[in-house]
Amino acid sequence: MRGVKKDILWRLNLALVLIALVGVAVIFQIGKIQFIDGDKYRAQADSVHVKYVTLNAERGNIYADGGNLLAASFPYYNIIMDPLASSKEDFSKYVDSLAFGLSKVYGDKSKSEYKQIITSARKNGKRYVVLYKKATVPQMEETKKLSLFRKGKYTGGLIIETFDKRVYPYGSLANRTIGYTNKEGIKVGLEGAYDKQLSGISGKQLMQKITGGTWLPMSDDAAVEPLDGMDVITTLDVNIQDITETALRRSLVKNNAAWGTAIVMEVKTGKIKAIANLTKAGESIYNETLNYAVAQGVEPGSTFKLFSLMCLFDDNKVDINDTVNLNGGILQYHGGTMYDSEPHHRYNVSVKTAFALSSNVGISRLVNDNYKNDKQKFAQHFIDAGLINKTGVEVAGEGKPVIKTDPEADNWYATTLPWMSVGYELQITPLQLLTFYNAIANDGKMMKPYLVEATKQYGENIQEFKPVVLKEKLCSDNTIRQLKICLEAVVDSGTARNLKNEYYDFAGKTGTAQLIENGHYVHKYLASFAGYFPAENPKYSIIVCINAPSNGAYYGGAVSAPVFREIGDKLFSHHLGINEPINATDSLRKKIIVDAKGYKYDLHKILSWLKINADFDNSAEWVAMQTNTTGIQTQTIADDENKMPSVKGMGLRDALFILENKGLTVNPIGRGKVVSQSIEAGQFIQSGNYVLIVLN
Amino acid sequence: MSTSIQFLLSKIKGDRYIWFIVFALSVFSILAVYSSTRSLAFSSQGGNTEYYLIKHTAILFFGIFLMYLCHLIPYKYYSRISQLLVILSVPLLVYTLFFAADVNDAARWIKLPVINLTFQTSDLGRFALIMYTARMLSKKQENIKSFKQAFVPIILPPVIICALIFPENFSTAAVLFFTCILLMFIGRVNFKYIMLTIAGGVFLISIIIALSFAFPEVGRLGTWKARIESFTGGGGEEQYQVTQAKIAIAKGGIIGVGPGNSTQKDFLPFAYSDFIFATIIEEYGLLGAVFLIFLYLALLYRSINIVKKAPSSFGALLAAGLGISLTIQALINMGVATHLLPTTGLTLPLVSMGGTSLWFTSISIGIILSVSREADLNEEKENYKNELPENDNLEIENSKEKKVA
Repeated sequence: MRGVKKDILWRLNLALVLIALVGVAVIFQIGKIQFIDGDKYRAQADSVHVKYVTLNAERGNIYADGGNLLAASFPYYNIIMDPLASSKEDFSKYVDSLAFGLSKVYGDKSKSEYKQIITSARKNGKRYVVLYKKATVPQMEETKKLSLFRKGKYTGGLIIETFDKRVYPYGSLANRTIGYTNKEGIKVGLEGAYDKQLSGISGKQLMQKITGGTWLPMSDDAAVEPLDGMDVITTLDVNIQDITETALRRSLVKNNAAWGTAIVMEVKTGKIKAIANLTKAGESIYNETLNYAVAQGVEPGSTFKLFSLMCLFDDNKVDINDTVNLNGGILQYHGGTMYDSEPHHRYNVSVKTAFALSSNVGISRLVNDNYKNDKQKFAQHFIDAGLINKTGVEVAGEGKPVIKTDPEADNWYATTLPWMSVGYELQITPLQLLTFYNAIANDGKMMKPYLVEATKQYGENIQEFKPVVLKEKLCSDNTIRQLKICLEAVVDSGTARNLKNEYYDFAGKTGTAQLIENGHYVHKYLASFAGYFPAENPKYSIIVCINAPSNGAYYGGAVSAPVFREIGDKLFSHHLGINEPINATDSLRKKIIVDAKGYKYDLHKILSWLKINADFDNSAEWVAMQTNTTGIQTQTIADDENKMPSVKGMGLRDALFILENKGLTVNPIGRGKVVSQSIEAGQFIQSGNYVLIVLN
Repeated sequence: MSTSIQFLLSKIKGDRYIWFIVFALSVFSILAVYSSTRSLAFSSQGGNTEYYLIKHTAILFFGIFLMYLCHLIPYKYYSRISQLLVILSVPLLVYTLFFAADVNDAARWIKLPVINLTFQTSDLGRFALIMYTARMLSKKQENIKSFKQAFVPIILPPVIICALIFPENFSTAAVLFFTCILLMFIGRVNFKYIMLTIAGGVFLISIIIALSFAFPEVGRLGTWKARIESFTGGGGEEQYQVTQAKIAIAKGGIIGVGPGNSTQKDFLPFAYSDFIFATIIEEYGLLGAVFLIFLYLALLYRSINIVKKAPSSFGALLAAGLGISLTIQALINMGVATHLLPTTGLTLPLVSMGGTSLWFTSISIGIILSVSREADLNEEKENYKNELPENDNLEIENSKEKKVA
């Protein structure tokens, strides 16, 4: 049966030939693609390029204590479609429901218009069709759920481009402390300090360039999703910040000062509730440009006497009722003459009075007499109190205190001890000084000042910051008691007695420090006031520093203490809840409501909470309240697509929402409520138009 | 160095040319996979392009190790093994049909417990069936022309196995069935019956196509419809991956753009498996493609060549069957990549990335080499005992001959 093998062999050879023919066919096919259709395909290849683009992570928001947005990133989306991504069946099956859905989500075009756009693009081979620009998050989410788009980028053809816009809803409020970052790498304030957390981790997406020069994301799996940034919850209170900034600005304008800073701290915790920094930018114009509160070392002057007093009391050198000779307000030291701020003819007064009158002679004499033989003991107090250290507040650029602690050093002069005791020959930042005052208010417990309460991501706490004790006990209880009496005496009968009020007691110390220019003391002053209130059971400590007031008044008691008082008054009435409620009359209520304008459901909520009946039977979402004889009614605003709505009387958030939804580019100025708009209500508008709104 | 090569050569038996082809294909494979997994590496391995290179090379080396082991086993054992595998593959295919993991839209994979490997049961089915058909053909040689005695028992296993693969993987089933028919023709089954079977198969496929156009939403019927449409151009614009593959081929030209310089792989889905041939053409040009086709045809030629000296009809049909199966798979993959054929999902044997599929290929070649090894042995013996009377019974096994010797 050799024949069997032979039989098999010829069949195998036949199979080999047939299979080889297939191989030849493949080669011919390659040749056909390369030589006959080659140019066509190579031309397509030339138009194809690929690159990675960064998918920006959404920057986290910065919140005030209480949830007010201080800095927010508003993402918006461009909704784009590749009509050729879907198969023929899918496309014809879903195009109608897709067009219907788009028209429902965006409402800017009818179903047939959308269908027309998509089908004609598909017909013309366009792979990049912008369906809607600047869509909001809910719109984008809705779009993703539409029939064809549900199938994903690759088979559905939905492309979403994300953009981010950083918005500061409170405008210039606490501007410098909130800070900013820019492309040049400058990082300022909390935006800078928490840049890493806020930024998140960017993702990347492989993009390909298609005919016509547009870039198309490649496939769903060629992407690394970005991780959104964390939110930063600050300790700042928007209302207190507003009060503080307003009061400071008022005084700066009134006194025509170079700059000023004011800080409000919560006594028990060290939380910074407000921090204002204003620099003169023009006649009566002050802007937040430099963070004096944190960065600027100053010679504090008299406010520093509290520290000297603490040393004297704690070392049992003197008692508040001991007598000190003021020598008429002038005293000769080895190497210099110490003057009180104004000449007087007082000689023997109590320690308390010397402090209340802010006598340089009195305090320096007490310190010099008691420590001149043991200067190191005085210097050691700086170290013990931690005054030579930075507070460690979160924002960058905190100034380091400049304080001499070595009496044997070359720079320790004969004048050093007396002059340091009254706040000269040393430099300390306003925040550092406030930290010390706060410790006295807090019965000797020194709290670390801080600005950030927590960082959150997707609503979950990532890091929570608790109050930090810098020093458990700064001095004895007896010392605290005596210091508090002295600080109260300043307001009661001393340099700040003009600010006494009948509603609440506060305690503090004025300071009027002479400024140095080019190495010489000049007739310019740093007017300051540091203190706390209420005097009993302190809640807030405040420091106000105003540099170079030039309208005559320059004393701390006249320039800075009123700022303290104004902040105190408002905080007292708003936050401590002791004030009498205002008995609002019906007409007053109506007046308030007439002015109300905004989102219908918000207004409804407010009015029902106030138990005021109003007619909310209106289909529009944005309404203005109107009062007439029949009651309170709503009037539709912003209903016409192409017409400018009236946003007067609205808050910035509502106004921005309405106007940007109409595709306008909005430039808001000022804060408060909208008082004017550059395009009058009822005018025709187009997407991309520019509108200026002024708030007050 | 040379001594170690000599040592290696002394250890490997069987056809040297086949070993060389394996080596050449492996080199192609490593180069092409490394190049074409770039975008995959970026999307799922954070840009670690070496990940797939190392993984694939390791898989390839293990495959060659399996090949080495298999070529040492006397091929007679594969007769019984094939029987066991066919019996085993039936329940596995049934299981796959109903419970399999969904990889790439096609429910063709099952996951092996413990070692955590997914594999395509149709790969096992194909492998088992080719060997089993060789076994059946050699067993039925005595009355091979009979319908009842030969044709029915031989055709039955392919019908069952292909019917089980068919619902989830039409192309594999069709290719496998065709390969079995070809083997039956080679194995001298009555030509009349073969023609009848082909006619039946064509009739069945026509019905399936008609059904897929009538009910595209049932199972994978829609996918087949889309594939047929995209191939015939009925679906409007050319399918994305076909265009991308053609761009790659056109860009390659005669000598190619050079190793690693291809760009189309970034746009080509499955550039590392189903469409690896397009990447190879882009990088190595028409010349590279011709060389690759030559390698597969050479593999087939060497497998057939074994038949001339094969000691038994089972050995001859086993080596030829596996060789034909691999070559057909390779050419169909190439036909798909060049758009000569509709998209199927068959890998390029020994070149495409993919663990278990590559190992089945390695084992197949190992078995061919095992036949070759014994054929060489047999030839030596025949030369030595050329005075021995003609041995008409091809069924006589080697061991018996040894006793005679």
